[in-house]
Amino acid sequence: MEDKKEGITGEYGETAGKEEFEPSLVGFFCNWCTSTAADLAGTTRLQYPPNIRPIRVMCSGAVDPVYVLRALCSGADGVIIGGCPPGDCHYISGNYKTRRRMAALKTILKTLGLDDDRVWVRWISASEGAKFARTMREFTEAMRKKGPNPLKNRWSI
Amino acid sequence: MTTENRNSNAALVIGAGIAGIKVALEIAESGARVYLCDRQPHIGGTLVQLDKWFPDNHCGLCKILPVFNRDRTGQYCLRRGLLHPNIELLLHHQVKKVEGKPGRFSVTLKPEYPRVNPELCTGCGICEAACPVTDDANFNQVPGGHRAIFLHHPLALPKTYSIDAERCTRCGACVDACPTRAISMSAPDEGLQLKVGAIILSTGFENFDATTATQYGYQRYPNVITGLELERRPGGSGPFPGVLYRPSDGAIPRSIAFLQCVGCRDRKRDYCSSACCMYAIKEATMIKEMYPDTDVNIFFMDLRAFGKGHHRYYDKARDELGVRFTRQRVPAVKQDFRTGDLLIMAFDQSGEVITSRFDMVVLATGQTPSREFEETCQILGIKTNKWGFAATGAFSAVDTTREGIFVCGTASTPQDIADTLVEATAAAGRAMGFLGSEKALPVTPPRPGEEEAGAAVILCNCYGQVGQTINLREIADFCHRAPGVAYVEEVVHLCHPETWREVKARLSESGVNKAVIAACSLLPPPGLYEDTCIELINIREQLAWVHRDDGLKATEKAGRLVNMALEKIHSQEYVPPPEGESVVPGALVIGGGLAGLSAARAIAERGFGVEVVEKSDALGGNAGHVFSLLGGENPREYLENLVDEVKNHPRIHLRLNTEVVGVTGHIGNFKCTLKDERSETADIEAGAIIVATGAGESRPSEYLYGRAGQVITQRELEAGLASGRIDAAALRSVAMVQCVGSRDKDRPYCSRVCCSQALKNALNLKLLNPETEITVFYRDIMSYGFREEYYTRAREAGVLFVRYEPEQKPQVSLEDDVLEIRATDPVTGNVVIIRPDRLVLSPAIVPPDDNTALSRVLGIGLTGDGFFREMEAKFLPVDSPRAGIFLCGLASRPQDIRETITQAGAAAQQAAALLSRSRLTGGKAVSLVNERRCSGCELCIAACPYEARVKNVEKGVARVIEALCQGCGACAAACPNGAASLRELKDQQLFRILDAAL
Repeated sequence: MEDKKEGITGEYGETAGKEEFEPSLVGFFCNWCTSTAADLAGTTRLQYPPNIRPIRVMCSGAVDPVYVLRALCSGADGVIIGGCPPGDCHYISGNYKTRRRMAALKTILKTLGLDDDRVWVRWISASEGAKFARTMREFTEAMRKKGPNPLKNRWSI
Repeated sequence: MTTENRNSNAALVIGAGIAGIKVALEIAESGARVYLCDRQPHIGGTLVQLDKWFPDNHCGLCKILPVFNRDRTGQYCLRRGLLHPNIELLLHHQVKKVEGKPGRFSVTLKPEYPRVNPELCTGCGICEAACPVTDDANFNQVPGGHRAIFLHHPLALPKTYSIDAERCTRCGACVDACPTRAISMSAPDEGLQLKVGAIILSTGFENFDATTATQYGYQRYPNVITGLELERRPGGSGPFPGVLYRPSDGAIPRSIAFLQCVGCRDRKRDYCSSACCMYAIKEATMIKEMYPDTDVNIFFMDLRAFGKGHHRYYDKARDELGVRFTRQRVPAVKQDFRTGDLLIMAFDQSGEVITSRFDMVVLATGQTPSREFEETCQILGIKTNKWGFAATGAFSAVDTTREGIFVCGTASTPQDIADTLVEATAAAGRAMGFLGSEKALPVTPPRPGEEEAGAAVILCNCYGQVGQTINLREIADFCHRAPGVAYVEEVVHLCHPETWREVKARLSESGVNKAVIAACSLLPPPGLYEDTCIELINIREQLAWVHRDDGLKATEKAGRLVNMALEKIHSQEYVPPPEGESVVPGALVIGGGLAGLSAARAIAERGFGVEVVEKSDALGGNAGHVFSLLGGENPREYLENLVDEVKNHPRIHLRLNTEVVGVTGHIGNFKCTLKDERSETADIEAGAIIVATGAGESRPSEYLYGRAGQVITQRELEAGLASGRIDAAALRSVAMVQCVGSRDKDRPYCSRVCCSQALKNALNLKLLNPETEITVFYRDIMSYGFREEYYTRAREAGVLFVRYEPEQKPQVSLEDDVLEIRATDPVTGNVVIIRPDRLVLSPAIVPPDDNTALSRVLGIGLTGDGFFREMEAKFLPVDSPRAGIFLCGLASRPQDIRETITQAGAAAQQAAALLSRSRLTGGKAVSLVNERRCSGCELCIAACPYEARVKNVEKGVARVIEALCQGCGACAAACPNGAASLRELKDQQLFRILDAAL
């Protein structure tokens, strides 16, 4: 599994040229906790790479696994979902729902031989601006290491 | 002096902490206007410094936001700010003068100087960079870093900088640096005059100044910190997120001691701060979660975990997480100067002095009135009690000594957040009585669909804050080329009121009903969302400020974000705002005890019909068994008056011997079936339901109760003394046993009122016969708040308090009609033997057995202890999980008479606010059903956390109750057929956004 991934990365790595690979990333952030943390990161002027394209959803529980698949198939190199920490959800249980859905999605991705680690789920509460910035840095770095998503432009749904 | 012509159908709320916010929201949602003022330049008070709350270690602050008419209010985390069309924030203002009468107060407020104008400040931070003064005290409670002008709280809205007047040298550097000219140094001689109908005081508390407790070495020993510092240091927005460093050397502490009752329960402050035991347990829990191997030892006197769910939380900390609890008041802390470790000398059980070493010591400081509180009370003309908190009545926790002025939260008594929120709601309800006629919040009229006029794009440069990273010119050019863009407008200061007006005017002139606003996290004024489809993107906090090093990529990202937003609004179909559902303007109150009657009276006074249903043939419930309160007041007269008023009230209809057997429908439109003693049923409609079914006293099975005549309960003693059946003069010796059937494995909760009841009866006995020897066997005396004074008085009167461990309960035996009690004193190990004339037991308060049946009828759950469960223990302590059903009195938790009246007032306020609406509407963002695609699989019904989705049985498809839908989208994600979707974010829309993003 690991070897395969590297092989694909290598294949695309060449076409990406000598410049460092810049992943395109999609983030689904909940309106209540994670989006507030994103604001806080800005207020405290914490820096993170600009690769992430944030999409604000009211609740992380509104993220249909299809959205994640669609993003991956349309060329996102990684998808991150940010929600309220367990128990904190404004809508009572949305984050638990997304946790289950994404766990199922990751299993399916693995079964299909795809890299399930391109989908991250993280709980970032409203006051965790530093954690938001750190998570964005880590995510960008991890996806950069992985290289381009092999699904990019191969499938469409 | 500027006099603003403002109507008196408004209330002034002084203090914008959690209590003030809750009062303001309640009044605003009842249709009146609110001025919410605070000395600080931000809202949130102490609360925003805390990340998590007991007893569930969660944050749930946003849950107090309004759920109806959501598009008018800010749907954001309250840590960012409060936005409501009926609430005007007057931050950094002080009340200077109050004149007039209830209903027609005239209040003078003055802004604090030096001042940063919140209307002009953009929060850019240029002033802070210009300020030459550094400041030590700050939000994070760690020294260093701050200038004299600083952002007190990085999440606050308005994001206004503030000046520490004491440290500011008035050099004027910031005044010159400020691009918006928002800073002024000197105070012009003008105030603001308001006409208000009622005033609510919610100024909160101040933490006890631990430096004055010199024996603990606070600020002399670096590793001695306060509880608040412990919250801030590892807090998510704190200086060291997620890690706890020892201040002296940055090591991870391996042992931490908590010292309770610092600044409380002493000669000078003979009261209990009520919340510190619980916050210490919470902090201990959080430390244990971070470092399971760190030894945490809480040194306490009485462990006061008396609130709902608190005792279970305490049990969990002790038994599952291994937090140690040591019953001891620590006399002093010493420091080992070589290592910075702290030494605590204490007696062990055998009386030996032992020295324990700790890496850190945390002082659980108590609550004291704020420094300016006395002055505020003088201005308002209200009295304080002897500890400097606002004085309140024996039967009302929210009425001050002056009519029309109310108090709530820790301004009147130390308490935790749940109790504060109950009081705040009750205070709002009382204040509404002084605010003239209520007007329902207007419902936005549906607007006819319009021709597609394109979208406007508004870009804010924020005085170059955005432009210094992002090339806005390029973005504007891109927008001009993008299809469907009517016009692009670049502004420098969008949040300036003048700019807003211009932007809004241009929007309405051009007939554009869709707009992308690329600005910052400062929220636009309310009212804009209602008829315009707006997509906000944050290009300051989420772009310009976080990608400073890479302007090129940041600009590219900004372009994409604008494109994504355009895709979203272009694919947004115009859907008229929901019409809403009608509301039946009447309430059903279940239970004719003190709680039910108080709630019924309060709702009827607000002009709504009330149907009171009582199972038995008498009104009054448990309150009828109480003959005096702890302070000596007589509750019987109060209860009789209440019963009379309820019986004679034209809008209240009483039904005795009646039960509720069926409830269908939903909030605003319940259909209830009642059954009377002749089994005849009646159907009534109600907009809201209040559950006030009370609780009972358990019948003790221990201590020979029922087998020996000398063994009675506290209630029997009280009745006997009142009626004269028990002659105090003939009593030589009386023993009392606390926690009979409470706080054990079967009932892991504290019954809360029994310690006060025992103190009351003991003091009464001593008053009637000072010769009577009284011995109280107890586990922890729960004399929280100002009840502590009576505990002291009882000890001074000679009442003997002997503690017992739950494993070693007192043994009672009866021989030749002589009662003998043997107990082992856990401190000395001595056996205490008493042969009393009477043994008085404090039995547990137990929920009635028929709660289970009623909970099924109502469709709301019970807690593990059998009381009715609330929606959220901390932030929604009156709401049941089913919208429109509210809880109060003993049905919800054990509590005393005054607390019951307060909670009944809170439930009544919430019900009245609901009934005052002509129609119930949620928001634009509610979910939809595409009936052609719906297979009726009911997955969405299972996924909905609000029971807003039901099955339309005739059609076999799902249906949405729009008043209940909160727009979370759980149903849309669960639907396998794409039949469920959100109005504001459909699947196809999201796919277009994704395509624009990638």
